[in-house]
Amino acid sequence: MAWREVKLPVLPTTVIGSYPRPKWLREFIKGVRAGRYKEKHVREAFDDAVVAVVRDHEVAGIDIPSDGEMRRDEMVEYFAERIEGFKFYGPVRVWGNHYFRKPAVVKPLKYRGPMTVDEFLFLRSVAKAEVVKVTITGPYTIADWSFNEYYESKEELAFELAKIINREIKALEEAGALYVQVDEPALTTHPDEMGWAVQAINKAVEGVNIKVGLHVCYSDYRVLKPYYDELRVSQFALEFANRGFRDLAVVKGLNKELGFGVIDVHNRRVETPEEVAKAIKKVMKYVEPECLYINPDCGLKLLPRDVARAKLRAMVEGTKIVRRSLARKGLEEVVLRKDLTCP
Amino acid sequence: MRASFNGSYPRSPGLARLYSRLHSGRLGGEGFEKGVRAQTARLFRLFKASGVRVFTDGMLRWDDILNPLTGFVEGVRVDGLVRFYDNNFFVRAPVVEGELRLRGDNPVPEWFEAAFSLAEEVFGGPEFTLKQPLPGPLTLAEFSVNKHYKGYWSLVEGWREGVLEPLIRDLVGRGLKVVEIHEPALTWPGTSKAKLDGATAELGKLIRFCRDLGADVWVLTYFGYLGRVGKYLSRINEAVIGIDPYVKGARKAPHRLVKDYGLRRVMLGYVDARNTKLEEGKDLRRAVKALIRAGAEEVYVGNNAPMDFLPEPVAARKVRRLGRLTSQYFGGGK
Repeated sequence: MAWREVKLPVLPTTVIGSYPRPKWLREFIKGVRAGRYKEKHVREAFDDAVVAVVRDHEVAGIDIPSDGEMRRDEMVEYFAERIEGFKFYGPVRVWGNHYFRKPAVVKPLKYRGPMTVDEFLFLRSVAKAEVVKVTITGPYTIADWSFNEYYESKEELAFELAKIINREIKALEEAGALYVQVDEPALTTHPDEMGWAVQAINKAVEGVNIKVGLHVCYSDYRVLKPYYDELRVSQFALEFANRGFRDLAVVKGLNKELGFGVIDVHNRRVETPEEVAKAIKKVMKYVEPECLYINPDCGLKLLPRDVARAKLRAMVEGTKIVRRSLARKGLEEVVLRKDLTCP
Repeated sequence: MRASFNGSYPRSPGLARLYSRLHSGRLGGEGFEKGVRAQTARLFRLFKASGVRVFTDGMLRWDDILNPLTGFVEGVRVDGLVRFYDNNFFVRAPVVEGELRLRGDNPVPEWFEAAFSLAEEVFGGPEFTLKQPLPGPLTLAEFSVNKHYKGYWSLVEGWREGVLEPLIRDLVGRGLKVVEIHEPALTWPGTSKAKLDGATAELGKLIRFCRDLGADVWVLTYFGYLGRVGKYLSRINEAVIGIDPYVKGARKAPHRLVKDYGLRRVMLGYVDARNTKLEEGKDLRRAVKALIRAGAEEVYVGNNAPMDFLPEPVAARKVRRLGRLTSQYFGGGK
């Protein structure tokens, strides 16, 4: 399907990806694992959950919703389960009593077929918005968060993954997706690997003709800054609320769109619209409003659903405050862009 | 040459469920203690069966190398999650808002006593060494958000004098013989080189404090190249020094570090705690012999870093492999 320009309100609001699973879905998944329900009911339950999430996003006023990653337990695990060559030995702790099933690469990796296309098609079928966001974990983060028992180096593994992710993004493009976000939370954790990690991400988006964002969080953005130009994506979605909007100057000189994180996802206190508006005005010293998207810092999945919903509402209301002042200057709309630079 | 298990062993999801039931009130303190004791005894049986006689309690009650210890320190508010070096593992960072002082209700000494009794039961006698892992003053300071102390070195000293020394005194009073200090900050490339002089001086003071009390000390560094500390190592080489041979950018092999910096007591972290691949052991004998030829008088072989980063079944396999390799090649595992 061909790329098309879609009009959006200035400062488009979106989410990073994940959203709390409804309590009934969590109970249902436990039931599936305990053998109380049949596998065939799982898809229906996930579809229903996506409808609920999209409804939450729409009620909050989000311009570009996602499906909340309802079908994914974890961002690396989901892809590792669908790519040939991974093995799971058991859960590994991430902090406290929180675990994820860290995969191990034990043989050559192979693309088995689309992993997210059905997710996208269902999301598009239930969302009122013309543009929806599909998230894909990037090759570097999958490599960094996996055990490598097979490839000579993490670099070699990441480039194999890049080829696979590239096929997946192209499959999404073919299915009509307009906006894909590559999630790379691990990107800056090994500064000495940044050179090839950036090339692996570029490989993953090579030949793609839709909008590609790159999400990097809980990171030292000074490590990312030298690569702003080199990364072949149209937007960086970065986290700033968690750090009290310190270090904003790091986006000075950014020649791409910024997905500006204004909601702290690890704190249950709901931000006020005024706080959100103040943060947006602050970042506009560095980034033109035409190049700004507004989003939470990261996925919202670890928050209670009512808190997540309230935070999204506050985010949208805060954005509207700034939009009103921009409207007075005649700036009310932007178009969905896939260009590698902005403005 | 002996096998050693260092730092943490993966907290099983079963134990995590016990925590969840405890916190939600569905399990009482007694039931919880019983569960933790059972898990610790299971770990000690694994050590015994594997021929590992120098070990920790697996830190099963610790969320990470800092917690819950920092939660039992006056002047500290435990705050948000921060990444533990370059791992997909996060720790809660201490915000230092007042004078650092260890609280009297800190449970670490009681946990040590309980683990020691359990080890005696499992081993049927004193044929083991139970080490107590603790974070080092530099690592504590590097993770701290300092809102109280005027200077960085006052903060480091605050952790050493206000927290670590009283804790170690208490532990030694209860029978602790070996303190295992975890100082990844010492070799981590993100720690400014300008701090290494002061950091090793502080560490040297802590080592002397322990030795004056009659306790031996191990200093474990990981994720970074030990050679970075180079010229300062002589200040701490009374301790057993841990060498992580899997770090990137290492310019010298472990035996060269021993030779060039005069290390006498070393723990070679041959078992990689950050990869599920099992060690084959082919090169172990040569590596240990090289350490001895280079001047090491006391050599241990163990895991290079805490084992939190591994799935529990893999960690168990690695412990068994560690015991088997050391007894196979050196007969010294048991």
